[in-house]
Amino acid sequence: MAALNPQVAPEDLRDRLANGVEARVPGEATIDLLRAGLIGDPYDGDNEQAQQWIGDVDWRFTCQFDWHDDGSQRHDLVAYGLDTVAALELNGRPVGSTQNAYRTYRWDVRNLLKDGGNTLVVSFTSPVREGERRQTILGYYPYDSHPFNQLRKAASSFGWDWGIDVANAGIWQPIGIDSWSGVRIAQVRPLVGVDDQGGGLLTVDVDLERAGGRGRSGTDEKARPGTQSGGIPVRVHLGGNSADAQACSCLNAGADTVRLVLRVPDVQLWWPRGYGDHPLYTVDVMAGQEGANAGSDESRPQAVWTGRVGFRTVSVDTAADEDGRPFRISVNGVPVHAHGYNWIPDDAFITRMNKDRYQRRMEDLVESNSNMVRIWGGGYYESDDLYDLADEEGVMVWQDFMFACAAYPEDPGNWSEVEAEAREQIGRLSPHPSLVVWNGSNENYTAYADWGGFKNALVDPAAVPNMYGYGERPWGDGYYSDLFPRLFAQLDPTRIYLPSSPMSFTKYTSPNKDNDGTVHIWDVWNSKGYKAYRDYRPRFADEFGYQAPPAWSTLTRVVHDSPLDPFGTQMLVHQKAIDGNIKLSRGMRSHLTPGDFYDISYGGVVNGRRSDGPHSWLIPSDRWEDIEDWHWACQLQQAQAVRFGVEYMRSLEQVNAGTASPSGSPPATSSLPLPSLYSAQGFRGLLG
Amino acid sequence: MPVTPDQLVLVMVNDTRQAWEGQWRVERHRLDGTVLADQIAQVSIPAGRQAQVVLEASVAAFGAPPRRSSWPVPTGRVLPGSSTIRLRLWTKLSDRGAGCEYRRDDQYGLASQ
Repeated sequence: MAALNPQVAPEDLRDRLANGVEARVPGEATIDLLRAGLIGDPYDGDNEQAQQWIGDVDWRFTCQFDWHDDGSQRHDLVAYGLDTVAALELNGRPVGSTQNAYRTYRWDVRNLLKDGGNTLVVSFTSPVREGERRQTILGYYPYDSHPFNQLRKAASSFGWDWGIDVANAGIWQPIGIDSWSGVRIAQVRPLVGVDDQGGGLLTVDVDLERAGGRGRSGTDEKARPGTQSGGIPVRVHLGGNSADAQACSCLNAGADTVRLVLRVPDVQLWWPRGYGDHPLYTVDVMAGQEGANAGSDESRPQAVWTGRVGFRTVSVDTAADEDGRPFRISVNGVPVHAHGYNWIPDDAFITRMNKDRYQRRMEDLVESNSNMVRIWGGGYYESDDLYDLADEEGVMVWQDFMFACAAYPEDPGNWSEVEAEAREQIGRLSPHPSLVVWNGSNENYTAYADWGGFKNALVDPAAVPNMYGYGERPWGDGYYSDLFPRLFAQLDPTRIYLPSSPMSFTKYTSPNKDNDGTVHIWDVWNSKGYKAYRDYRPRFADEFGYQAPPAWSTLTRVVHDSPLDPFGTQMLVHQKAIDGNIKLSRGMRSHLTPGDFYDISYGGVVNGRRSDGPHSWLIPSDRWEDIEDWHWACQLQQAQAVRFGVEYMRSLEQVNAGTASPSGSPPATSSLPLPSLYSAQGFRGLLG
Repeated sequence: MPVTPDQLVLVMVNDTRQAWEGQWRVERHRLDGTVLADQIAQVSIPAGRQAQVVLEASVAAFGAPPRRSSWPVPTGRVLPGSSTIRLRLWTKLSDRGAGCEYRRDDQYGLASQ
């Protein structure tokens, strides 16, 4: 890995970066620099500020590898994830370019490979500079901090109110040469249904690619003994839980997709935790035949796919009632109460995630007596490991598309990338019974409707006047309300979909109205104190919460202020919320400290007069003499605040059908649970 | 216009797929455990629904701080599969429109399982 513009790096590193640093794949530039000992831990102290240059670098990754033709018809270069804007060359010749970290790219490189040594070069454009460059072309679309909304890259990698700003570049998923012949399984969508008699219905849509191209058999180009020249046989088998069913079909010439249907009598239903068991069935898909015995039962398939499914139905009730409109999820026709958490990336450097870490987090979720996790839209479509665990544990998944807290351009380039991304992710996640809700965006409706500076920034005098008589640039709703519903109708109509959350299902209503649809509650933390939860009557609160610092050992490992103080230099680097320490102090009043939430001081005089001195949101009794006491009080407050909110909403049962509080992940890596987790065991807990 | 005073309400939620029936005993006691008042409620909760019991004044009343109040204790029969009975105490405010509002008085640490 080498820097193409080392001049943006600190002077003492420039030569080293220009000459190259060992990189690991999958990986990312910052972690390679850390491994090489060239930078300190990005989470430590105020390193985050000192390392902003990393996001300004154009990084070039070079790999030399041996390759020998094994006789396959196709040799594709496959990149399962490049972050983000990159150009690829193989042996000095251009292969292609990428624009989207959330997609897989595949290029036929038969004619670029050579026997023996090969050189692959992946050159990334600085994500920070590229976002700003595109903004000058496409125009300003409202966002916070960097223009993350110009790129299909994790928004939170540019910093969030809970996380560090460490946008960088890298080959974040595996990359390699895929050699194949005849036919390749491009995607499998095994969709489940349950009939009135309890029978399972499995509809498997299989997308295939022929080595010779669309509608052509691979044998057209390179004859191989035993390969079929016409239709391609496709077989599906379902097993597990005493089931043994299969179906066969044939992909006809000119077609790319085949549908197979299996019926499974007396199927065992998949239920969320607390409502029943979570049985899973194995699905095997086999396509094509090769070898001398092609056409016989002993012949091997050319392509196989294996996955798991669970039989259940999902629906949602949003019909108007006397309280407004609910968002009540039913599984197998039974209304379920969703208890859960929001999932943000578990590490600012996603390539450090692995199955063990997903396992630990899933254990936290299960131990907190939750039955749902919402994958928040500012991060990633997560690894299959997470969804596999959710399937096994009976944890329902609410999956956001990766759009968060911003307006997004709908130009043709972005539109095609978003469509490709959505097609891939809808298909990839379609087997998982845990996935019950797809959500088009996080807070983008309420941002457009309610946040200052959004609508007016989108005014475009050159555009065709809208129903209000003025031109406006498209801001992302085309994806949420048009593109995604069409794709779900085509690819997977079995799940709940809502275009944004929060959203109300009644037109002409604020998207964040508590008694209509879903709601996010943040004014409680920002400006009211946690008793204000009871001013709401939420139908489904899928985001709310209260901040606290991380575990003491985590905090003191990365913050080195002496003496340690809530307002210390390094502490404030990690306190990502605006006025976060003031909000923590105000919230404690009348619960853990004297005073009232709305008290202010002048010159240290509580609720005094201007003549007493400078204004402060803090009052003298907000000060804790011992930082350990402050730390403990913050965590206690978080646990109590979330417990208060959840218990109150539970008392509204039937009106309220779900709560999901945030993961509370602090701006420092740690797997240590907070008191709020233990509190959740109680307030979401099981009796008897 | 008459104003309905706040009331303390025991709210029970049955998350399960089966009906629950049983008995709750709610006690008001001192920190030393002395029972000052109690109330027994027979409750039936359909699957997935909630039930409410308005606490009698003798149980709901507070003394002078420091104080500890009502501890609800389940004594009923939990039917098979009924494993998620949740219990909290909330103050019922005057009715507003079609619905009621409930406020939990956490200042005195009323909540308990």
